[in-house]
Amino acid sequence: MTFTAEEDQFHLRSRFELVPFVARLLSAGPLRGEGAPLPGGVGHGFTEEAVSALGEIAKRAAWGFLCREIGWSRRRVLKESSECSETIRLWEQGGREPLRFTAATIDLLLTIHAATRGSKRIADFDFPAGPANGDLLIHHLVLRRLQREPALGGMDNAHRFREWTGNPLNSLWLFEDLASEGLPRLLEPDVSCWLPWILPAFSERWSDQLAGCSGPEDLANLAGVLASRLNELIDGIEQQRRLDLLGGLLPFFQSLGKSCEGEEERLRSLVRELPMQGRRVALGHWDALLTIGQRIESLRTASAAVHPLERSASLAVFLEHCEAMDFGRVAATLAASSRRLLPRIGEHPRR
Amino acid sequence: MSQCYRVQLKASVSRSVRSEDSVAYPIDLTPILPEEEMRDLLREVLEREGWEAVEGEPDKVRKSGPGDEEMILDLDELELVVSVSEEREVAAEVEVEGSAESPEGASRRAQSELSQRQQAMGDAIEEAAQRELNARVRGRLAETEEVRTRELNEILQQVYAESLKRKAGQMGDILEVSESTNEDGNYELVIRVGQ
Repeated sequence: MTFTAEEDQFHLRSRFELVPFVARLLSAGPLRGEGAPLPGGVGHGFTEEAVSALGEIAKRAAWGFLCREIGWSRRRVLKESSECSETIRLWEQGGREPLRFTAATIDLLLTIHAATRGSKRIADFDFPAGPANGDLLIHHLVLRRLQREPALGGMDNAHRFREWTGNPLNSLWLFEDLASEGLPRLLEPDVSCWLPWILPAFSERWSDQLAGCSGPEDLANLAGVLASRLNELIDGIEQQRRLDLLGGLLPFFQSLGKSCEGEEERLRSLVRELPMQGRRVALGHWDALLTIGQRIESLRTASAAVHPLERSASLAVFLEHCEAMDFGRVAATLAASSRRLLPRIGEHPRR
Repeated sequence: MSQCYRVQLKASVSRSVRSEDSVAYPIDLTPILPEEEMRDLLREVLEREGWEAVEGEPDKVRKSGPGDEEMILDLDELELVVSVSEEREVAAEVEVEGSAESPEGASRRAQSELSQRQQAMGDAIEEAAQRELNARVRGRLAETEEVRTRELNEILQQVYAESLKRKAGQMGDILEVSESTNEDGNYELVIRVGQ
């Protein structure tokens, strides 16, 4: 096969410029660069070697993201058949539902490369995620990298990356609506099998964001919207009868339970200047989060009421997660905090 | 050689400030009996506890709360609105001096200065008093919230106890009713019903 001089130049740049760029993009390192963007599209093609290198980088980055958050811990998950469960480590999951990538990931990486070589802001581009599970993860990792470095694309805090939220992982990350297509995609087997590892990693970000609220409006925006997103997710999980997936959310509520007494003080001081009704409204957003703890607790008690012989594997896994975390106690702490923050009249004792 | 005249004026400034705040609590009334019967029962218990009908509004009852706040319970909407309002007069003295080469000029300057100072002082004491009064009014509502909600929850407990007894009566002959408070301080009601 013979190549034109222009194609040879493209191959050289893809191998010696794009591949190292992607490695830096998905880990850390400088991204802005000189020179013309790499032309993608008709008339140009990557060499097999470059595609293979990009695929390898994408796999390592996605895998590294999943591993980084959990270390060596084991998780109770459903087996492929969904009829029984097993305790496995992350890499034992990998063979069953491998991370897959499509050309959309290479297009994404190429577009980001072009943006960092051009004058346009990255925020001006629309980057749809590819359809495969690995595409979603890489798309998410790119978003996180760009978000960490606003200078790259001129993105400021007000920029909510809405055009990126076709990816349900990004929607959860950014507290955006999971939309009609996002939630079912998240619960499809090739993505849902990773949720036990992804959700605990996300919960740290949610906790940090909530801790950073500096005023009642911030609090209303973040706590209220996060509560809506979590409720959407739990709705979907309930509809799919996959309560085992709630295991990934429990660490967030455990952390909320640990910090809620201190948080009460902070919240009261945040709303001190508001009229009473305004206080109740602002605290109501926070309370919506605490109430999700009650919702999960109701699911736990309902699941525990099912005879062990009649429990599905999903229910059994969910109950094991709850037991390991002593979720009944966590829920009681959250309920007590909720009652202290927002005294209610006539609340049914079981609620 | 010119002569300087000085005129001193004194005046008092007073302002009236008013602050009010209110908060609404939805009432979650578990429907043990039909809705209408539950509301009637709630009204009965409230009246027994000293709540009075609001004139011209048959669905509302009122009572003064533990911090002298006004509590109005809407039996139709099942909502409790608690409000507090306070008024206060604040006053301050203003003293100015005007000087000029004639007594009229000094008086004019003093008058002009006085009216400006009166306005500024009035605004300042009003703002400070308003801020203080707002905080006080909110404080009254917040401090009494726990006592208030406990009182209302005890009323609802009586409503639930009575409605459970009525419900049990519909199911059969009531053989025994025992009411107690357990170790955790929770009210317990046991009704034995015979068929």
